[in-house]
Amino acid sequence: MISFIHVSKKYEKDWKALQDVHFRLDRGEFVFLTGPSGAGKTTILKLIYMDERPDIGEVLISFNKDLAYRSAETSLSKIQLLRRRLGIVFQDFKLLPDRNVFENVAFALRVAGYSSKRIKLRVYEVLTLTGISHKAKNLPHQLSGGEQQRVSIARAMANEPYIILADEPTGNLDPQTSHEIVKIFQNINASGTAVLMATHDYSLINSLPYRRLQLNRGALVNRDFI
Amino acid sequence: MKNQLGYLLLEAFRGFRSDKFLSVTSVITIGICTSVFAGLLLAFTLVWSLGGGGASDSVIRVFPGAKYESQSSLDGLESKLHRLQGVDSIVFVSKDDALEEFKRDFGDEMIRSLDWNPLPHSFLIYPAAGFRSSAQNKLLLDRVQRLEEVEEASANSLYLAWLDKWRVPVAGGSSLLMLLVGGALSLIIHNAVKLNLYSRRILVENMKYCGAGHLFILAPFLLEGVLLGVLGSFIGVLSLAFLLGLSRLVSASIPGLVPFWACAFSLMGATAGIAAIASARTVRAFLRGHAV
Repeated sequence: MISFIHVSKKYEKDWKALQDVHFRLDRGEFVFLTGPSGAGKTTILKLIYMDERPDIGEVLISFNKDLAYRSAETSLSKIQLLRRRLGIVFQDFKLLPDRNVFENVAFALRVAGYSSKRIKLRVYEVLTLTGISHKAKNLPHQLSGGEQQRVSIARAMANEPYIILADEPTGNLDPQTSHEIVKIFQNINASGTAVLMATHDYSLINSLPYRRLQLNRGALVNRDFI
Repeated sequence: MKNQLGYLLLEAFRGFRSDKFLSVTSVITIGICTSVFAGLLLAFTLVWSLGGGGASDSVIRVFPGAKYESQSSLDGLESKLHRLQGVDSIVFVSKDDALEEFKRDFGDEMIRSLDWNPLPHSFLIYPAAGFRSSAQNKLLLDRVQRLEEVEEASANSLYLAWLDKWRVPVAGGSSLLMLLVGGALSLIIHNAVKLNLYSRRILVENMKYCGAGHLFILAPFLLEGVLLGVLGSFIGVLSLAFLLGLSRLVSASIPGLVPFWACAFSLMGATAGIAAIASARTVRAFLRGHAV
């Protein structure tokens, strides 16, 4: 579904964010992207949602035969369509502080032009999936970190994405909450959605049986299998 | 689509409400700017409609010679005057009418001692629109004076020349100042929208990562800018009404010369247009700068 073909990315003259990164991620997979801070995990995610383009190599994203995106050729309008098929989860949640949980999740569907009736149904569906439906009317500041991350995951799930890209989703959470969040990702994955989770929480990674892509200074150093 | 439009409108009002102090300050500043703009627009419109003379400023008074005071001669002269190029309409003022006018203007003490009416018949020529400038008016006056039945013809030439002299500088100056005020207005709206964009950048990021198109991201901020502009222009319209009321104290004919509603709608339209352009440019620059 997602292929990185010998991708390199440089931000500044001497700082190579990624060096000859080559891997594939299949439909329905759960993969950990690990490595220390600055290793290039976020850059890989940015290349997938095409916030960045590779300097060398190519990123191919293919959801089905008719729906493929190549980093070298994808126009801005196509990037917008691509992002509607991805779910992105951030470490800092990026929730809108002036609107409640329901509105935060509904936001993603409004962007995609869903009807009000469909938005209502889908929002409660994903809030139930992430176990936060009872706080639908709360504002983000009335929620704990774990609850905010659940809302953020619900928002990412709203558009029924092919893949969830999670950038250090447990970085601000305690170990217990982190496990609960990962459990949600496992449930999402069990329903067929692929998950690519960037993290440097090795205790979490080691407790789970998923493939991992280990990055160090922009290079893949340990791949369970490509 | 209808759903999205309603949502974008709500988003625009949410932006307006999110920082009330900034919004109110912006509306007041825009209001001050549009008030200055209204003053300049008023000056421009007034000078332009007076310039070249209003119909009453450019009137030519014609006195027939003493031997042409018979009715048939007067009729002949009137038809000759009608045939002259640049004449819009002619009003005949009889000796009796002139006497009434004299009494009305100066009282009847001066005339009471006379047992006859010394005032002559006359014609008032109202020039057509193209013959109200100083030069054209003089041309028409020359043509009238060349008629043998005419003993004397006079026009308000000095006043027309004065109007002509000041018409272009005042209209040009006020146009230039209107451009400057328009530029200032654009900067104020740019600044308000930019501050709002930065304070709500998380909203823009969310839109971006959810796959919103540029128009979807731009629309609420553009609408918000237009809303600020329109609300500010209401203050400008109130100022315009006040200035027109004030000018009525100077001359009763001024309010009639300046069409209030046309000026008010022009003011609101111009402000909304400037606001839309300024907001769109600000958001587009922001989106470019943040690779959205």
